[in-house]
Amino acid sequence: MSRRSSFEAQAVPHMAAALTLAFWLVRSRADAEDIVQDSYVRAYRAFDTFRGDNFKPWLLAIVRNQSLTWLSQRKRASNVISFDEAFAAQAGEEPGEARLLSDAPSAEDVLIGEGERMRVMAALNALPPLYREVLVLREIEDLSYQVIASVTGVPIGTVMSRLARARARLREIVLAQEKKEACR
Amino acid sequence: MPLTCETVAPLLGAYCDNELSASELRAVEEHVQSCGFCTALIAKDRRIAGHIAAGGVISGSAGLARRISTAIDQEETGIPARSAPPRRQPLSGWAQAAAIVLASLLSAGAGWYGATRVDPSDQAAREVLQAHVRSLLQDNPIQVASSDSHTVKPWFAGRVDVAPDVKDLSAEGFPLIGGRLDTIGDKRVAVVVYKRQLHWVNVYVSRAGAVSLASGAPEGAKVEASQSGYNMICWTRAGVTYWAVSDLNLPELRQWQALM
Repeated sequence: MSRRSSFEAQAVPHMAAALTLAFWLVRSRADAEDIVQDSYVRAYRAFDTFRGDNFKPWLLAIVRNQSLTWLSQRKRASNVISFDEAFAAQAGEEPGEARLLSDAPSAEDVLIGEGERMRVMAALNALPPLYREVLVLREIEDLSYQVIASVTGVPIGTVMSRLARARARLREIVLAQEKKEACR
Repeated sequence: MPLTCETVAPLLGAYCDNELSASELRAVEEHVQSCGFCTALIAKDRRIAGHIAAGGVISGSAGLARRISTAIDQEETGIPARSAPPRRQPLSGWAQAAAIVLASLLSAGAGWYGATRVDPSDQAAREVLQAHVRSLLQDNPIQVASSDSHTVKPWFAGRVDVAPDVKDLSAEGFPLIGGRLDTIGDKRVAVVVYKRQLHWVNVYVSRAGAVSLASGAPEGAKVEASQSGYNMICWTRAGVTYWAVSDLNLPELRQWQALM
């Protein structure tokens, strides 16, 4: 099998996973598609250095890096300091509680009157990127903590605590919204 | 020793994901089986996880697969395929600014006082022009009507994040008419309005770098554009970007700009 077809056989099945991760990091379909395309080209270029049988985490790590780079470039372009970028810049460090504030304060307002799924998606959207990322890798891609650790480049213990905080935060937002609606 | 809800809380997720060690697993299980609170938390988190799994997937498209394939073709043939083939026309503000800086470097010293011509399809120019035309369709394009710069300038305080230069140039034939707020892209900007005979001159003002329109000219440089009979001059001074638009002819608009 040629290098090209061997790459495609491995990479093509993961396109949705790559796009999903990029989308939930940058939150724009168009930008996510650009990032996935660039990531695939980079992966192809580096394919010779890939050893082993864990292609998916290797590919997702590239997509993740490209997405975080995109987030930090967007910050410079817009001159806006947001929690997103504060997180991206410190990827690898566990954020302090003060940083748990959402970067999309209006999330709770836009949820009004929507169903539970919409509430959950909007709450996810409102979380900081490192939380969105770990939830996507776990709940959508169903990856083990060890694989998530290799994609995100942090120890397994950090994956566990980050995921626990992400879930708690998500649950809080969803419950708060449900309570608000019940009071109406 | 039985665990409390507090000690168990950070482990519940890992418990559900089957990521605990055997001893932790036993301890957490023992607690959860006798705790309605933690059981409810688990049920809630499972429902939420189910929604994410079902609603969060972004499917690829045939178009994306094609683009990737083409990009890899180009990679193989050695043509640099660094970025996506043109999909959306507007450059990012960043790329635009870079292009314009480059253009102004190339044309420095050439042309009329070193002003740079900008492609009228430039997104910033287009948005400013659209805003100008929109304003002409309004009955009254003024929110604060005054020929006194000391009335117009303070009116913007607290409404936008810049204090635009406002001069009454009545003596020179460009009376100050007033000011209003407008929107470029999704950002609110200040607009200072002048007149030359029957021609309106709208000056869109924003913090440099804040809005796409601000990518028009780097500090100290001037950029000009013409489209559909309208002329535009853009300049940046003291971190504030000005876009002047009018159906006034370009020499007169330049004359007015020089007075500013």
